[in-house]
Amino acid sequence: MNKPMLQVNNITKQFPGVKALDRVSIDLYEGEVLCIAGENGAGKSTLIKILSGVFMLDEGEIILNDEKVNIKNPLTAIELGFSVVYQEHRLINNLTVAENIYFGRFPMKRGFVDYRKLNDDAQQILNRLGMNIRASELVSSLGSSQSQMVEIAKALSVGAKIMILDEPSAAITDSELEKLFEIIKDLKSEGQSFIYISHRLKELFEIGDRVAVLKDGKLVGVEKVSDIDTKKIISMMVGRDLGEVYRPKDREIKEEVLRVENLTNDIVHDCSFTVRAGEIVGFSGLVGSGRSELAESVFGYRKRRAGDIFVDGRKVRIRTPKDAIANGMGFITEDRKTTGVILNKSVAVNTTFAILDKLSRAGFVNTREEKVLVDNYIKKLKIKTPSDKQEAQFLSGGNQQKVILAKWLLTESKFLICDEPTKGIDVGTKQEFYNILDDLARQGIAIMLISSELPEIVGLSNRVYVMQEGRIVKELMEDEISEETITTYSMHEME
Amino acid sequence: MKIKNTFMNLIGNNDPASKFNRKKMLTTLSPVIGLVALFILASSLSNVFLTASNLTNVLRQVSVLGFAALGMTIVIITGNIDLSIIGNVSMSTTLVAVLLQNGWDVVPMILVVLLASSTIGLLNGLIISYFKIESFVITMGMQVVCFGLSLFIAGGRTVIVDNLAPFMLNLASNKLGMIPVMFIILLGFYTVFYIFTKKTKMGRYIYALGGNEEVSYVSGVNVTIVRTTAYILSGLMAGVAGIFTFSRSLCGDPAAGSALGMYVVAAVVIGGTKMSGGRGSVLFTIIGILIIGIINNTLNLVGFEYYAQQIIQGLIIIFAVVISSKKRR
Ligand SMILES: Nc1ncnc2c1ncn2[C@@H]1O[C@H](COP(=O)(O)OP(=O)(O)OP(=O)(O)O)[C@@H](O)[C@H]1O
Ligand SMILES: [Mg+2]
Repeated sequence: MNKPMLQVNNITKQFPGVKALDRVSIDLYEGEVLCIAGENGAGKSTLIKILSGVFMLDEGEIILNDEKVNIKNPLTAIELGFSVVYQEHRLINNLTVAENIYFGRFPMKRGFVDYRKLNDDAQQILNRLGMNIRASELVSSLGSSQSQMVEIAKALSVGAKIMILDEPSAAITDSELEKLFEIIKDLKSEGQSFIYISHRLKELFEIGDRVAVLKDGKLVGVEKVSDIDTKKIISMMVGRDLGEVYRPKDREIKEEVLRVENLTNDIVHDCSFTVRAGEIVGFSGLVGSGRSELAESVFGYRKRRAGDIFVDGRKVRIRTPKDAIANGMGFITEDRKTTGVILNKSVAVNTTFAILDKLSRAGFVNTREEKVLVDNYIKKLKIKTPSDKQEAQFLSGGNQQKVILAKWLLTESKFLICDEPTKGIDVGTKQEFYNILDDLARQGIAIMLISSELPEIVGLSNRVYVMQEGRIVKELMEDEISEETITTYSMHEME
Repeated sequence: MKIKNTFMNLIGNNDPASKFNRKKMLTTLSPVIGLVALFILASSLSNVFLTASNLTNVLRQVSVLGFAALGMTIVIITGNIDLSIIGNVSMSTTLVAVLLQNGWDVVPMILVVLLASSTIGLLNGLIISYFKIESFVITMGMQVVCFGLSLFIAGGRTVIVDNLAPFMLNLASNKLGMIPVMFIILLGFYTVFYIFTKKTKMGRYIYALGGNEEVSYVSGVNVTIVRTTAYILSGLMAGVAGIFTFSRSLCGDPAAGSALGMYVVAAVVIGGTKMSGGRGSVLFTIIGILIIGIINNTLNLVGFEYYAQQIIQGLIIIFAVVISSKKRR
C-alpha cells in the first residue's frame, strides 16, 4: 500500500476529569473514506477538533505528507487543507445561505463583493446537493436539517484535500444522504480523502473504506469495511453484543389523547391527525417537509394561522409552550443548541429544568431530591459526565442529547413529542431509549415520533403519517408500514 | 480542603479537585486577589488609608453603589442591562426629600419610595418583553424619563428638609463598632439576594434566561415574568440606594444618581459577572464595589488633580474588567 497522507501518532488529550483521547494513532490514505465509530463521549469529536485546530493536543504528533505539523488554530488547519463539518451548527443566522457558504472567501469585483457570482456559485452547490432552497435566503429561515445541508455545502465548497464530517447525517434523510454520498464518491475518485463520523452504522458500510473504533478515548482497532459486519463493529464499540432487538407492537391502544384539525402555519398547510393513548405515531418525510414545524405549532412554539387542537376530546387553547405543558405535553426538540440545552448550566440544572414546579417547596428547589432524579437518569441513559455539576457545554454532543431526553422524560407528560430524539446517540443507548419509549407507550402515554431514521419509524410506530411539502399526504396503518412504502409516499409526485 | 470545597460550592462548582478546577477557581478568585493587591497598594501609598475612620468612610461611600450594583447584577445575569438605575436613584432621593418635607412619617415614606422605584422596574421589564426591544435602548430612555421626573418632583432645585426625624438624621452615621450600619444592611441584602438567586426556582429561571432564553421558553417558563422580576428587583434596589443617598446628603438633589454613572456596571463586571448573561454571582459584586471604592478613596488621599483622578480611575476600571473577564481556554 502507498504511504498515508495523514498520520496521527499517539495523541492524548485531557479534559477536567476526563481523558478524552489516550494515545490514539490513526492514519489516512489519499482517496480514502475513513470512518470513526464509538459510543457517545468516546472521543471522536475531540480527535477531529484537534485536527481542525479547535483544541491543542497534550501529547503526540500529527504528520501531514511526511511533515510534522503544528495545528495551533482553525486557520492553520484550513491552510493545511482541512475542512470540517462540525457536529454542532456553526452558521451565522442573520446572513444568507450564500454568504455563509463562502464566509471569509467572498468573490470580489473592483473592491466590492460580487454578489451575483457569490449567489450563482452557492446555488450551484446547493443544486448539486439536491437542495430545494435559494442561495439568497437567510439562514435563520431554514429548518435545522436544512442548515445541516448548508453546513455540508459550505465544507464541500472549499475543495479541501481532507474533509472531515462529524455526524453530517444527523437529522437528514436517506435521499439527501444519497446525494451526499454520490458527491463523496466523485471527490474520492479525484483523490480527496474523508474522515466520516456517524452513529448510523449502515452508512459506514455504504461509504467507508476502513473503520476506526474508539472506546473511552482509546483506539480499539481499525478494520477494512469489507472484512467486518455491523455486529462486529458494535461489539468493538460497546464491548459486548447487543443481540437482536425486536419489540412487538402489541400495545394496548386506548382513547384519543390528541387531535389536531386543519392546522396551518407559515410552513404546513391543513394538517389533521390524531394520537391515541398507548400509541407511537411516526411522522416521516424529507428534509423541509414540515414535520418539525407541525410539532412546533402543536406545542405552541410556532404561531398557528388556523386549526384546532383537542386534548382528551376537549378543545384547548395553546399559544405558548407553557400552555402546552399545562395540557400535559412534552417536547424533545430537534435543535440541541437553540432549544435543547442551556450550555453554560450544569447537567443537573438542565435535567430538572422543566419540572422545577414539582421539585420546589415554597419557591426553594429541593436539591437533594433533584440529585436523586438526575443521578438516576445519568445511570439509566449512561450520560458520560464527571458529575451532575458539569456544565452541558463540556459534554459530547450525544451526551447533551441524552440530557435533553432525560429532561423531558422527567416531565411525565401524557403526550410526548419526540423530534429526532436519537440524533447523535450511540447504538447502545438508542436501544435503551427505544425501550423507554415502548414502556411509556405501554403505560398509556401518547407519543408523536419524528425521525429521519426510517428503521426507527418502522420499528416503533403503530401508525405513520407521511408528509410532503407541508402537507400530510398519507396515513399508513400498522400492516402497511415499511421503509419502501414510506419512501414511496414521501417522494410521490402530488397531483 | 473543607474551605476550598465550600468555596467551590459558593461559586457553583464542586467537582472533585483537579488542576483545571484550580485554574477555574483562580479566574473566579481574581477579583479577590485584585482587591487584596489594591488594598496593600493603597496602604503603602497613603498612611491615612489604613486608619479606622478612613476605612469606615470607604464602606459608607461604597454602600450606595452597592445597592445599585446589586440590582444591576440580577438584570445582567438575565442577559439584559438596566441603565435606568441612576435616574431611578435620583428620582427616589428627591421623592424621599419631598415626602419628608411634607411631613410624612418614615415608614410610609419608605414604602411609597420603594413602590415608585419598583414601578420603574416593572415598566422596564414589561416594555422590553412586550416589544422585544434591546434592554439597552429602553432603559436608556427610562433613565432620561427618571431624571425628568426627579426635576419635576423636586421642583427643579435641590430640596432641603427641615425638622428631620432622628431616624433619617442618623441613618448614615450610625455604626456598629467600626462598621457603618448601612454597610451591614447592604450585606444583609446581598445575603438574601444570594440565597434567592442560588436556591430558589425563580433564581434558576433568572440564570437560565441569561443562559438561553429559547430553552427557557420551550421548557414552559414565562420569560416575561422572569425578566420583569429581575427589573422590579433592580428598581427596588435603586429605591433603597435613593433612600441612603438622601441619608448621606440630607437633601434631595435631582442629579444625585448621576454620580454613580457607569460605576454600577463596572462594579458588576469587575466582580466577574458576564455581560452576556447566565453567569456570575451577586456575592462577587461586593468585591467589585470595594475595588472601585478603594480606588476612588486612594486617589483622593494621594491628592491627584480631578482630571488625573478621572483618567486613572477610568484606566484602572478598564484594566480590572479586562483581568476579570479574561477568557478561559
Ligand atoms: N471542552 C471540553 N471540556 C471538558 N470535557 C470535554 C470537552 N469536550 C469534550 N469533553 C469530554 O471528552 C469526552 C469525549 O468527547 P467527544 O466530544 O470527543 O465525544 P464523541 O465521541 O464525539 O461523542 P458523541 O458521539 O456524543 O459526539 C467526553 O467525555 C466529553 O465529556
Ligand atoms: Mg461528537
